[in-house]
Amino acid sequence: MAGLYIHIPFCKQACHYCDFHFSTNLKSIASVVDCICIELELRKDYLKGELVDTIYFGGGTPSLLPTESLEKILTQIALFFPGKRQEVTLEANPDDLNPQALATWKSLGIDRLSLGIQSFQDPILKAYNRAHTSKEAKQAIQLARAAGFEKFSIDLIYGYPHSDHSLWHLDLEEALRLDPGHLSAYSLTIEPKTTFGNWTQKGKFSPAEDEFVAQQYEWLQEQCDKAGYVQYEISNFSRPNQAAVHNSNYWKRSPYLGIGPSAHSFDGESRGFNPSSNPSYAKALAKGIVPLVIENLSSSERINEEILTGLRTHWGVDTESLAERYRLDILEIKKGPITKLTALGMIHTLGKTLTLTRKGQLLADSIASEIFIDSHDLS
Amino acid sequence: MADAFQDLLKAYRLEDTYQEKLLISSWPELVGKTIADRTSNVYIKDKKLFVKITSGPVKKELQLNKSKVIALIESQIGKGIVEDVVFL
Repeated sequence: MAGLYIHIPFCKQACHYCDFHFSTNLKSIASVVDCICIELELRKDYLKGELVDTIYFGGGTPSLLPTESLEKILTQIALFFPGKRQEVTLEANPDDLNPQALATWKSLGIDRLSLGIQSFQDPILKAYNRAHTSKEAKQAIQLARAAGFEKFSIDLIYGYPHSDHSLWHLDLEEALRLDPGHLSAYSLTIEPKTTFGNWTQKGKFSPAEDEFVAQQYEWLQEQCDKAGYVQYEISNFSRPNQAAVHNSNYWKRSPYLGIGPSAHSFDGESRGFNPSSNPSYAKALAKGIVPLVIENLSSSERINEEILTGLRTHWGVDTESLAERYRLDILEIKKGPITKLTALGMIHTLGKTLTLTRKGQLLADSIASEIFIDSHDLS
Repeated sequence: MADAFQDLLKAYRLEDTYQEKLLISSWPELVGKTIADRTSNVYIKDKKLFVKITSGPVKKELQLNKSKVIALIESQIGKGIVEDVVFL
C-alpha cells in the first residue's frame, strides 16, 4: 500500500513561524491546480502499481481551495490511482470551516481533518499571525463533529517565549477538553526565512530557552498520558486506533508520491523533490515536464533514515529486520553507544527492538545520530 | 462455479446484459466517492455508457480522460462491455 500527498501551496497570510512552501498570491490557484492534475497523470506509474490507500492534502492551506479545484484533483486521482481509500485527510484552518464547506468535503470522500489550531489564546494567535481567533478555533471542532467527521486532529504549537507556562497549560487543557481522536504538538522552532527568524536576527525576538520548551513538552506527555492518549510518535498522540495512517506510513517507510510544488516523494530507494516555487513548477508542467530532482539513497543512508524515523515512533527500530535486509547487526556494531545510552536511561531494548525512553524523546535526533552507521559498517 | 455461471450466461445470451448491469451497479466503487456523489444517472444503450454528472469540473475532467475511464472499466469489469462513454 502507498500514500499520495498533494501540496497546496497557498495561504491567506504568512504565519510568522512557518517555513513550508506557500504563496499568498491566490490568483494562481487555478493554474497550479491544472498543473497538479497534469503531474498526477505524468507520474501515475511512480508507485509501480502499488495501491494508494491514503491521500493527504497538506500545505499551505488546502481548506482555502475552491470546491471545483478539489473536485478536479480528486477526479484525476480517481482515474489515475483507482482503489479503495483507508484515509483521506485535508489540512484545514478554523476560519475556513463552515457547514457548507464541511458537507462538500465529506461528499468528496474526505474523511479526516487536520485542524491547524496552533493555540486557543488570542494573544498567541495574533503573535503567530494566524488568520483565526480563539472562538473560531473552538467552534471548528464543534462544526467538524456536527458535520459527521469522526476523525480529526488538532495541531498545537508549544514553546512560545512567555514569562511562565500558563498559556500553554490553558491551550493543552482546552485541547484535551475537546477530546479529539488525535493531537499533534510541535515546538516552536525559529527558521531563518520566516518573520520570527528575521526578528531574531535583528534582535527583536528572543526564542524560549531549551529548558523552558522541554518543560512544556514534558507537561504535554504527562497530560496526554493522563487523558488516555497513546504517544505513537515524538509529536503525535492519539486515542487507540486513531493514529494517522498516512503519516504512520511515512515513518514506517512505505512508498509515497508527493504532487505539487515542494512536494517530496519516496519509492523505497530514492527520494524525489519538486521545486519550492510555484512559477518554476507551473512552467515545467505546462511543457509536460515533471520538475523532479532525484536523490538516490545509499544503503547506509537508508538505514540511518530508518533509525532516525523508527526511534521517533513507539514502534521503534526493528534491528532484526535491518539485519535481514542489510546483513547488519546494529546491536553488535553499535554496542558501545547503545550500552551508554541505555545506562543513561535514554533508550531501551525489548527483544531486538530499540525504542526511546520518555527521557530520550527530548533528545531524539542526537540519540539517533549516535547510532548512525557509516558505509564501511556494511560488509 | 464461476466458469459454469459464465457458460450459462453465454448459453442464454445474457452475458452482455449481466455485465452491463454489473458495470452500472459497480460505478460507485469503480470511480470512488468524489465522482459517485456527483453522478445522478448511469445507463447503457447500444454499447455506449451514458453518465449524468452534476458537477461541471468533474464532467470536464472525465471528458478529457474518456479513454482512461474506458480502460478502468475494461480492467475492473471486463472488455467489450461498452465502446464509448458519454458524460451528460
